[in-house]
Amino acid sequence: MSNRRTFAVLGVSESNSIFLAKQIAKTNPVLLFDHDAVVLNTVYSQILSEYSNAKAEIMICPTNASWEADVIILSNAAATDGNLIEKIRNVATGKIVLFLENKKNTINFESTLDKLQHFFPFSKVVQSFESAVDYNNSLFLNGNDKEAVKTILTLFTSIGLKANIL
Amino acid sequence: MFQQLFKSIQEKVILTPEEMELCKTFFIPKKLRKKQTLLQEGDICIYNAFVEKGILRSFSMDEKGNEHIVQFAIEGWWITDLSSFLTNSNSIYTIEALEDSELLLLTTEAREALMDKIPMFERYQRLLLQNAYIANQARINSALTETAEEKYTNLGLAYPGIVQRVPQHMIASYLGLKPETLSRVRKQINTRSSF
Repeated sequence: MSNRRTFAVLGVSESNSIFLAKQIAKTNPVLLFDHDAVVLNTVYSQILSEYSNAKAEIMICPTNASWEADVIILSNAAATDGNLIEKIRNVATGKIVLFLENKKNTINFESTLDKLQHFFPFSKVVQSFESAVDYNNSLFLNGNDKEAVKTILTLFTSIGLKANIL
Repeated sequence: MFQQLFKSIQEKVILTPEEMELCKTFFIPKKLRKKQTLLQEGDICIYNAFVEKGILRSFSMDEKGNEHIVQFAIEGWWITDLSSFLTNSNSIYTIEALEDSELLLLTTEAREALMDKIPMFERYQRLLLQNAYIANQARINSALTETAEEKYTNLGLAYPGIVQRVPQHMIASYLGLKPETLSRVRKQINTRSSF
Protein backbone atom coordinates (compact mmCIF):
# COMPACT_ATOMS: atom_id res chain seq x y z
CA MET A 1 0.00 0.00 0.00
CA SER A 2 1.10 3.54 -0.45
CA ASN A 3 4.09 4.05 1.84
CA ARG A 4 3.50 7.78 2.02
CA ARG A 5 1.62 7.86 5.24
CA THR A 6 -0.25 11.01 6.15
CA PHE A 7 0.32 12.33 9.69
CA ALA A 8 -2.03 14.49 11.74
CA VAL A 9 -0.23 16.51 14.42
CA LEU A 10 -2.77 17.70 16.96
CA GLY A 11 -1.40 20.36 19.24
CA VAL A 12 1.64 22.23 17.95
CA SER A 13 2.46 24.48 20.88
CA GLU A 14 5.07 22.15 22.37
CA SER A 15 8.66 21.80 21.22
CA ASN A 16 8.51 18.02 20.66
CA SER A 17 5.42 18.13 18.45
CA ILE A 18 6.81 21.09 16.50
CA PHE A 19 10.06 19.22 15.93
CA LEU A 20 8.26 16.10 14.74
CA ALA A 21 5.95 18.05 12.45
CA LYS A 22 8.91 19.80 10.84
CA GLN A 23 10.90 16.63 10.30
CA ILE A 24 8.02 14.52 9.01
CA ALA A 25 6.83 17.26 6.64
CA LYS A 26 10.10 16.91 4.72
CA THR A 27 8.92 13.59 3.34
CA ASN A 28 5.28 12.98 4.25
CA PRO A 29 2.07 15.00 4.25
CA VAL A 30 1.47 16.57 7.67
CA LEU A 31 -1.87 17.98 8.76
CA LEU A 32 -1.50 20.51 11.57
CA PHE A 33 -4.13 21.40 14.12
CA ASP A 34 -4.11 23.54 17.24
CA HIS A 35 -6.86 25.39 19.08
CA ASP A 36 -4.63 28.45 19.10
CA ALA A 37 -4.78 29.84 15.56
CA VAL A 38 -1.82 32.17 16.15
CA VAL A 39 0.43 29.33 17.29
CA LEU A 40 -0.83 27.18 14.43
CA ASN A 41 -0.07 29.82 11.80
CA THR A 42 3.32 30.53 13.31
CA VAL A 43 4.39 26.88 13.27
CA TYR A 44 3.04 26.42 9.75
CA SER A 45 5.00 29.47 8.54
CA GLN A 46 8.14 28.24 10.33
CA ILE A 47 7.91 24.86 8.62
CA LEU A 48 7.48 26.39 5.19
CA SER A 49 10.23 28.94 5.70
CA GLU A 50 12.69 26.23 6.82
CA TYR A 51 11.65 23.65 4.22
CA SER A 52 10.08 25.18 1.15
CA ASN A 53 9.00 21.76 -0.16
CA ALA A 54 7.38 20.73 3.11
CA LYS A 55 4.05 18.98 2.76
CA ALA A 56 2.37 20.72 5.67
CA GLU A 57 -1.20 21.97 5.79
CA ILE A 58 -3.30 23.79 8.35
CA MET A 59 -6.49 22.00 9.35
CA ILE A 60 -9.34 23.74 11.11
CA CYS A 61 -10.95 20.55 12.36
CA PRO A 62 -9.22 17.79 14.36
CA THR A 63 -11.76 15.22 13.19
CA ASN A 64 -11.03 15.79 9.50
CA ALA A 65 -7.27 15.88 10.15
CA SER A 66 -7.44 12.54 11.97
CA TRP A 67 -9.87 11.04 9.47
CA GLU A 68 -7.47 11.79 6.62
CA ALA A 69 -4.38 10.69 8.55
CA ASP A 70 -2.81 7.27 8.82
CA VAL A 71 -0.95 8.22 12.01
CA ILE A 72 -2.27 10.64 14.64
CA ILE A 73 0.23 12.47 16.84
CA LEU A 74 -1.07 13.97 20.06
CA SER A 75 0.89 16.54 21.98
CA ASN A 76 0.79 16.48 25.75
CA ALA A 77 -1.89 19.19 25.76
CA ALA A 78 -4.00 17.48 23.09
CA ALA A 79 -3.94 14.16 24.95
CA THR A 80 -5.47 15.77 28.02
CA ASP A 81 -8.17 17.57 26.05
CA GLY A 82 -11.23 15.39 26.54
CA ASN A 83 -13.23 17.32 23.99
CA LEU A 84 -10.61 16.80 21.29
CA ILE A 85 -10.27 13.11 22.10
CA GLU A 86 -14.02 12.69 21.80
CA LYS A 87 -13.94 14.38 18.38
CA ILE A 88 -11.29 12.08 16.94
CA ARG A 89 -12.02 8.79 18.68
CA ASN A 90 -14.29 7.35 15.94
CA VAL A 91 -11.93 8.18 13.08
CA ALA A 92 -8.87 6.82 14.91
CA THR A 93 -9.97 3.18 14.74
CA GLY A 94 -7.18 0.93 13.50
CA LYS A 95 -4.69 3.81 13.31
CA ILE A 96 -1.50 4.49 15.25
CA VAL A 97 -2.08 7.18 17.88
CA LEU A 98 1.29 8.49 19.06
CA PHE A 99 1.23 10.36 22.35
CA LEU A 100 4.17 12.69 22.96
CA GLU A 101 4.41 12.87 26.68
CA ASN A 102 6.60 15.28 28.59
CA LYS A 103 9.58 14.20 30.63
CA LYS A 104 8.56 11.74 33.28
CA ASN A 105 9.77 9.10 35.59
CA THR A 106 9.90 5.76 33.77
CA ILE A 107 8.40 4.02 36.80
CA ASN A 108 4.98 5.55 36.13
CA PHE A 109 4.87 5.16 32.35
CA GLU A 110 2.21 2.43 32.24
CA SER A 111 -0.62 4.37 33.83
CA THR A 112 -0.69 7.00 31.07
CA LEU A 113 -0.58 4.40 28.34
CA ASP A 114 -3.46 2.49 29.88
CA LYS A 115 -5.45 5.69 30.25
CA LEU A 116 -4.94 6.64 26.63
CA GLN A 117 -5.58 3.13 25.36
CA HIS A 118 -8.86 3.30 27.27
CA PHE A 119 -9.77 6.48 25.34
CA PHE A 120 -8.81 4.81 22.04
CA PRO A 121 -9.76 1.17 22.55
CA PHE A 122 -9.55 0.26 18.85
CA SER A 123 -6.40 2.23 18.01
CA LYS A 124 -2.74 1.30 18.32
CA VAL A 125 -1.60 3.68 21.03
CA VAL A 126 2.12 4.36 21.30
CA GLN A 127 3.55 6.49 24.09
CA SER A 128 6.78 8.39 23.66
CA PHE A 129 8.56 10.21 26.45
CA GLU A 130 11.89 11.42 27.69
CA SER A 131 13.10 10.02 30.93
CA ALA A 132 13.37 12.51 33.78
CA VAL A 133 16.23 10.52 35.28
CA ASP A 134 18.11 9.46 32.16
CA TYR A 135 20.01 12.39 30.66
CA ASN A 136 21.29 10.83 27.44
CA ASN A 137 18.50 12.50 25.44
CA SER A 138 17.05 9.17 24.48
CA LEU A 139 13.31 8.73 24.06
CA PHE A 140 11.34 5.77 25.29
CA LEU A 141 8.58 4.12 23.32
CA ASN A 142 5.88 1.99 24.81
CA GLY A 143 2.68 0.44 23.46
CA ASN A 144 0.55 -2.67 23.35
CA ASP A 145 0.89 -3.20 19.59
CA LYS A 146 4.47 -4.26 18.83
CA GLU A 147 4.22 -3.48 15.11
CA ALA A 148 2.98 0.03 15.83
CA VAL A 149 5.82 0.64 18.30
CA LYS A 150 8.32 -0.61 15.70
CA THR A 151 6.79 1.70 13.10
CA ILE A 152 7.29 4.69 15.39
CA LEU A 153 10.82 3.57 16.26
CA THR A 154 11.62 3.47 12.53
CA LEU A 155 10.07 6.91 12.09
CA PHE A 156 12.04 8.40 14.99
CA THR A 157 15.30 6.85 13.83
CA SER A 158 14.75 8.10 10.29
CA ILE A 159 14.52 11.68 11.54
CA GLY A 160 17.58 11.40 13.74
CA LEU A 161 16.04 10.77 17.14
CA LYS A 162 17.48 8.29 19.61
CA ALA A 163 14.74 6.01 20.86
CA ASN A 164 14.41 2.77 22.80
CA ILE A 165 11.50 0.42 23.15
CA LEU A 166 10.55 -0.22 26.77
CA MET B 1 -19.69 6.90 8.49
CA PHE B 2 -20.95 3.29 8.14
CA GLN B 3 -24.24 3.98 6.39
CA GLN B 4 -23.33 2.55 2.98
CA LEU B 5 -21.47 -0.40 4.45
CA PHE B 6 -24.38 -1.55 6.55
CA LYS B 7 -26.74 -0.98 3.64
CA SER B 8 -24.51 -3.22 1.51
CA ILE B 9 -24.28 -5.87 4.22
CA GLN B 10 -27.99 -5.84 5.04
CA GLU B 11 -28.86 -6.32 1.37
CA LYS B 12 -27.19 -9.73 1.60
CA VAL B 13 -27.24 -10.89 5.22
CA ILE B 14 -28.76 -9.87 8.53
CA LEU B 15 -26.51 -8.63 11.33
CA THR B 16 -27.68 -8.03 14.88
CA PRO B 17 -27.17 -4.52 16.34
CA GLU B 18 -24.38 -5.99 18.51
CA GLU B 19 -22.67 -7.48 15.47
CA MET B 20 -22.92 -4.15 13.65
CA GLU B 21 -21.25 -2.38 16.58
CA LEU B 22 -18.52 -5.01 16.67
CA CYS B 23 -18.09 -4.71 12.92
CA LYS B 24 -17.31 -1.00 13.25
CA THR B 25 -14.24 -1.70 15.37
CA PHE B 26 -12.48 -3.59 12.55
CA PHE B 27 -12.62 -0.88 9.87
CA ILE B 28 -10.12 1.96 9.49
CA PRO B 29 -11.91 5.17 8.46
CA LYS B 30 -9.87 6.99 5.82
CA LYS B 31 -10.45 10.14 3.81
CA LEU B 32 -8.70 10.38 0.47
CA ARG B 33 -8.47 13.54 -1.56
CA LYS B 34 -9.01 13.68 -5.30
CA LYS B 35 -5.97 12.20 -7.11
CA GLN B 36 -4.52 10.69 -3.91
CA THR B 37 -3.67 7.02 -4.15
CA LEU B 38 -4.66 4.20 -1.87
CA LEU B 39 -2.34 1.75 -3.60
CA GLN B 40 0.72 2.29 -5.76
CA GLU B 41 1.78 -0.20 -8.42
CA GLY B 42 4.62 -2.33 -6.99
CA ASP B 43 3.41 -2.12 -3.38
CA ILE B 44 1.60 -4.89 -1.52
CA CYS B 45 -2.11 -4.21 -1.28
CA ILE B 46 -2.86 -4.42 2.44
CA TYR B 47 -6.41 -3.06 2.34
CA ASN B 48 -9.75 -4.04 0.94
CA ALA B 49 -11.51 -0.67 0.70
CA PHE B 50 -15.22 -0.01 0.95
CA VAL B 51 -16.40 3.26 -0.60
CA GLU B 52 -18.72 5.21 1.70
CA LYS B 53 -18.48 8.34 -0.42
CA GLY B 54 -16.71 9.28 -3.65
CA ILE B 55 -15.31 7.29 -6.53
CA LEU B 56 -12.04 5.45 -7.14
CA ARG B 57 -10.39 3.74 -10.06
CA SER B 58 -7.94 0.89 -10.32
CA PHE B 59 -5.56 0.90 -13.27
CA SER B 60 -2.38 -0.60 -14.65
CA MET B 61 0.14 1.15 -16.86
CA ASP B 62 1.83 -0.34 -19.92
CA GLU B 63 5.42 0.25 -21.06
CA LYS B 64 4.35 3.21 -23.20
CA GLY B 65 2.76 4.91 -20.19
CA ASN B 66 -0.82 4.20 -21.27
CA GLU B 67 -3.25 3.64 -18.43
CA HIS B 68 -5.66 0.72 -18.54
CA ILE B 69 -8.56 1.04 -16.13
CA VAL B 70 -9.75 -2.27 -14.75
CA GLN B 71 -12.30 -1.10 -12.21
CA PHE B 72 -14.24 1.86 -10.92
CA ALA B 73 -15.77 1.87 -7.45
CA ILE B 74 -18.57 4.17 -6.36
CA GLU B 75 -20.53 4.40 -3.09
CA GLY B 76 -21.40 0.96 -1.77
CA TRP B 77 -18.66 -0.85 -3.70
CA TRP B 78 -15.45 -2.52 -2.65
CA ILE B 79 -12.11 -2.01 -4.35
CA THR B 80 -8.77 -3.75 -3.90
CA ASP B 81 -6.19 -5.76 -5.82
CA LEU B 82 -7.55 -9.10 -4.66
CA SER B 83 -4.54 -11.09 -5.85
CA SER B 84 -2.08 -8.86 -4.00
CA PHE B 85 -4.38 -8.58 -0.96
CA LEU B 86 -4.81 -12.33 -0.57
CA THR B 87 -1.33 -13.52 -1.56
CA ASN B 88 0.85 -10.67 -0.26
CA SER B 89 2.35 -10.20 -3.72
CA ASN B 90 3.29 -6.88 -5.30
CA SER B 91 0.41 -5.21 -7.06
CA ILE B 92 0.36 -4.38 -10.74
CA TYR B 93 -2.36 -1.81 -10.12
CA THR B 94 -2.65 1.70 -8.77
CA ILE B 95 -5.85 2.69 -6.95
CA GLU B 96 -6.63 6.41 -7.09
CA ALA B 97 -9.47 8.63 -5.91
CA LEU B 98 -11.27 10.46 -8.72
CA GLU B 99 -13.17 12.59 -6.23
CA ASP B 100 -12.65 13.40 -2.54
CA SER B 101 -13.59 10.09 -0.99
CA GLU B 102 -14.43 8.47 2.33
CA LEU B 103 -13.34 4.87 2.71
CA LEU B 104 -13.54 2.10 5.25
CA LEU B 105 -10.40 -0.02 5.09
CA LEU B 106 -10.14 -3.64 6.08
CA THR B 107 -6.76 -5.32 6.50
CA THR B 108 -6.33 -9.03 5.81
CA GLU B 109 -5.99 -9.69 9.54
CA ALA B 110 -9.10 -7.66 10.36
CA ARG B 111 -11.04 -9.41 7.60
CA GLU B 112 -10.08 -12.84 8.94
CA ALA B 113 -10.89 -11.83 12.51
CA LEU B 114 -14.22 -10.34 11.48
CA MET B 115 -15.21 -13.47 9.56
CA ASP B 116 -14.21 -15.53 12.57
CA LYS B 117 -16.25 -13.47 15.03
CA ILE B 118 -19.28 -12.85 12.78
CA PRO B 119 -20.10 -15.85 10.56
CA MET B 120 -22.65 -13.76 8.65
CA PHE B 121 -19.83 -11.46 7.57
CA GLU B 122 -18.10 -14.45 6.00
CA ARG B 123 -21.30 -15.21 4.08
CA TYR B 124 -21.44 -11.55 3.00
CA GLN B 125 -17.84 -11.74 1.76
CA ARG B 126 -18.58 -14.98 -0.10
CA LEU B 127 -21.57 -13.42 -1.84
CA LEU B 128 -19.47 -10.40 -2.78
CA LEU B 129 -16.77 -12.59 -4.32
CA GLN B 130 -19.42 -14.58 -6.15
CA ASN B 131 -20.91 -11.40 -7.60
CA ALA B 132 -17.47 -10.07 -8.48
CA TYR B 133 -16.72 -13.29 -10.37
CA ILE B 134 -19.97 -13.03 -12.32
CA ALA B 135 -19.28 -9.37 -13.12
CA ASN B 136 -15.77 -10.25 -14.32
CA GLN B 137 -17.12 -12.95 -16.62
CA ALA B 138 -19.62 -10.48 -18.04
CA ARG B 139 -16.83 -7.96 -18.59
CA ILE B 140 -14.68 -10.50 -20.42
CA ASN B 141 -17.62 -11.51 -22.58
CA SER B 142 -18.39 -7.88 -23.34
CA ALA B 143 -14.76 -7.24 -24.32
CA LEU B 144 -14.72 -10.25 -26.64
CA THR B 145 -18.11 -10.05 -28.29
CA GLU B 146 -19.63 -6.56 -28.15
CA THR B 147 -19.19 -3.65 -30.53
CA ALA B 148 -17.88 -0.34 -29.22
CA GLU B 149 -21.40 1.08 -29.22
CA GLU B 150 -22.81 -1.91 -27.35
CA LYS B 151 -20.05 -1.70 -24.75
CA TYR B 152 -20.73 1.98 -24.09
CA THR B 153 -24.51 1.64 -24.12
CA ASN B 154 -24.51 -1.38 -21.81
CA LEU B 155 -22.12 0.31 -19.39
CA GLY B 156 -24.42 3.34 -19.26
CA LEU B 157 -27.44 1.13 -18.64
CA ALA B 158 -25.76 -0.97 -15.96
CA TYR B 159 -23.85 1.79 -14.19
CA PRO B 160 -25.26 5.23 -15.07
CA GLY B 161 -23.60 6.71 -11.98
CA ILE B 162 -20.17 5.86 -13.34
CA VAL B 163 -20.72 7.17 -16.88
CA GLN B 164 -22.04 10.47 -15.50
CA ARG B 165 -19.23 11.04 -13.00
CA VAL B 166 -16.13 9.81 -14.78
CA PRO B 167 -14.29 11.69 -17.57
CA GLN B 168 -14.92 10.21 -21.01
CA HIS B 169 -11.28 9.33 -21.65
CA MET B 170 -11.37 7.11 -18.56
CA ILE B 171 -14.58 5.47 -19.74
CA ALA B 172 -12.81 4.80 -23.04
CA SER B 173 -9.85 3.25 -21.18
CA TYR B 174 -12.17 1.05 -19.14
CA LEU B 175 -13.93 -0.16 -22.29
CA GLY B 176 -10.64 -0.75 -24.12
CA LEU B 177 -11.44 1.93 -26.70
CA LYS B 178 -9.45 4.89 -27.95
CA PRO B 179 -10.91 8.22 -26.74
CA GLU B 180 -11.59 9.26 -30.35
CA THR B 181 -13.50 6.02 -30.97
CA LEU B 182 -15.68 6.63 -27.92
CA SER B 183 -16.24 10.22 -29.03
CA ARG B 184 -17.40 9.00 -32.46
CA VAL B 185 -19.67 6.38 -30.88
CA ARG B 186 -21.27 8.97 -28.60
CA LYS B 187 -21.81 11.29 -31.55
CA GLN B 188 -23.54 8.52 -33.48
CA ILE B 189 -25.80 7.71 -30.52
CA ASN B 190 -26.66 11.40 -30.01
CA THR B 191 -27.40 11.91 -33.71
CA ARG B 192 -29.76 8.91 -33.77
CA SER B 193 -31.56 9.93 -30.58
CA SER B 194 -32.13 13.48 -31.88
CA PHE B 195 -34.24 12.18 -34.79
